Amino acid sequence: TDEFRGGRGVASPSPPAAILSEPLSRMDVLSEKIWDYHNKVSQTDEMLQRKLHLRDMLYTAISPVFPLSGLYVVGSSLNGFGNNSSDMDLCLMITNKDLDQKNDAVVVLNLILSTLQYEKFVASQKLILAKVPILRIKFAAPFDDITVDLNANNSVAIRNTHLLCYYSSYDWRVRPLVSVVKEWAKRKGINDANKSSFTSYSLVLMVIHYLQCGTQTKVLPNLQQSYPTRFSNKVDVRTLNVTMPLEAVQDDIDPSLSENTTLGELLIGFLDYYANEFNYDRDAISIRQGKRVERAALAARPKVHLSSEGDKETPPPSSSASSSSIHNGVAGIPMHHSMSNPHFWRSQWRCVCIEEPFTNSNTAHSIYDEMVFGAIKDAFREAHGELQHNRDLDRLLECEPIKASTTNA
Amino acid sequence: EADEPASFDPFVRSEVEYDSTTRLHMAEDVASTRRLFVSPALKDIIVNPENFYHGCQQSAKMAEDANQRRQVSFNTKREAYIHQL
Repeated sequence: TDEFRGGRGVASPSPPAAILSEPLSRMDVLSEKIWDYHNKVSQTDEMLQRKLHLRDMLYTAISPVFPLSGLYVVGSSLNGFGNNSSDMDLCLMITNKDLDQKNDAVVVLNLILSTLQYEKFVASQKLILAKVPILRIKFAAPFDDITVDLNANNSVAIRNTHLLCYYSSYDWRVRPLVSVVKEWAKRKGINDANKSSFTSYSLVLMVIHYLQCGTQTKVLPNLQQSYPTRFSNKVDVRTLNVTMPLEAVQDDIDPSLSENTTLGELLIGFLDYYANEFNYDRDAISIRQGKRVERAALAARPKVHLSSEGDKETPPPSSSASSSSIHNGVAGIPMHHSMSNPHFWRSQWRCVCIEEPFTNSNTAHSIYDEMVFGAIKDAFREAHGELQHNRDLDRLLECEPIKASTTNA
Repeated sequence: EADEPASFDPFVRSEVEYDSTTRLHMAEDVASTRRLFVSPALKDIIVNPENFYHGCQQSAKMAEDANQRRQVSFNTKREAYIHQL
């Protein structure tokens, strides 16, 4: 029978078509569904243009009070992972140094609040005091569907928006994969930092990590390693430009190999990785290092060391991360205080460890509840089992939220 | 069209423009009513503003770039699909 398996001079017969085509075509249905779903929910050009227009209107109103300042779009609106209902995060840049977030940033945001109250296009404003204070702005029609979260000088948000933008367009499968993972997590009730689960930012980092080192053939490189000057946290944020393509460098990605994995296989693999392969007790996710690292190594670093610009001290950028801290009780504590407190430090790294690529903080620090953590792990196992068995995206997304409630709820 | 998203030149600003003394007073007023203060660092930023204009993030460029990325991903997907067949 060995002769039939490609013995010399003998053409190897293909396996019966039915065996091959059946799972393959079902897999393709899954891939197509993921792709279609992504195109249905991802941010449209029209939405992006409206957001940018709104940013420009805000800038006109703010610039008399902060001349020469910069108003940068950060987060999902510009990093390639936005969906059409995304709110817009903005960062007002006024200095290259660290802006004290406890007093100075609050003064800046209050000054903007009092300036904007005379603008007809602004409907309401709310100052949210968190580790990174935020001015939440709502608008009159036709912009009444967009909410803006504005921070003062939290420049790390500009850096990781820039980094994520390049990861999002490195390979066409990255964005659809994130779209579906975000939606699954949302329906499962584990994409809500206020309920002690993942922020969208953490989910994106989990997908990137999986594509960096959880797949059979690598899909994503480590951009911070391949382009050290481009993605360094020393680079002046004013020069970060997402329209500049990356110059070709030698990396360890073989596109012809990596392309053999379908989108559907990647989604199943993602769920498998976090259900069965990733050891939450031992491992931490590091996009910056492009690999799994020992969580002990990350958590042991007692303090964020300051770079010359002081940017490393700034906490994770996503708005959901900052609004999470409003509710979980850590919010009001100033950074230097909480960081030096060993109990805070341990709790920050307790359940899931995802290293922020530009700071030393844990973006998944809102998962501090063991019950919720257990339910999250179960959710991954269940989703993996089901998708592997049925390959049905609709069924995956028709899931019930996890049952566990937070201890402080 | 007047409504078109415009990108602003950092040196062309809206009609109202406050001088540094006025800006500092405004900040001090806002701070004092909220039991905050204008620190020396913030005072320096207000009085001697440095150029941080979002020149690399101008709206027209960003919109065009997003559109191009979408086209590229559509094309790559099509090629990959052919490759996988």
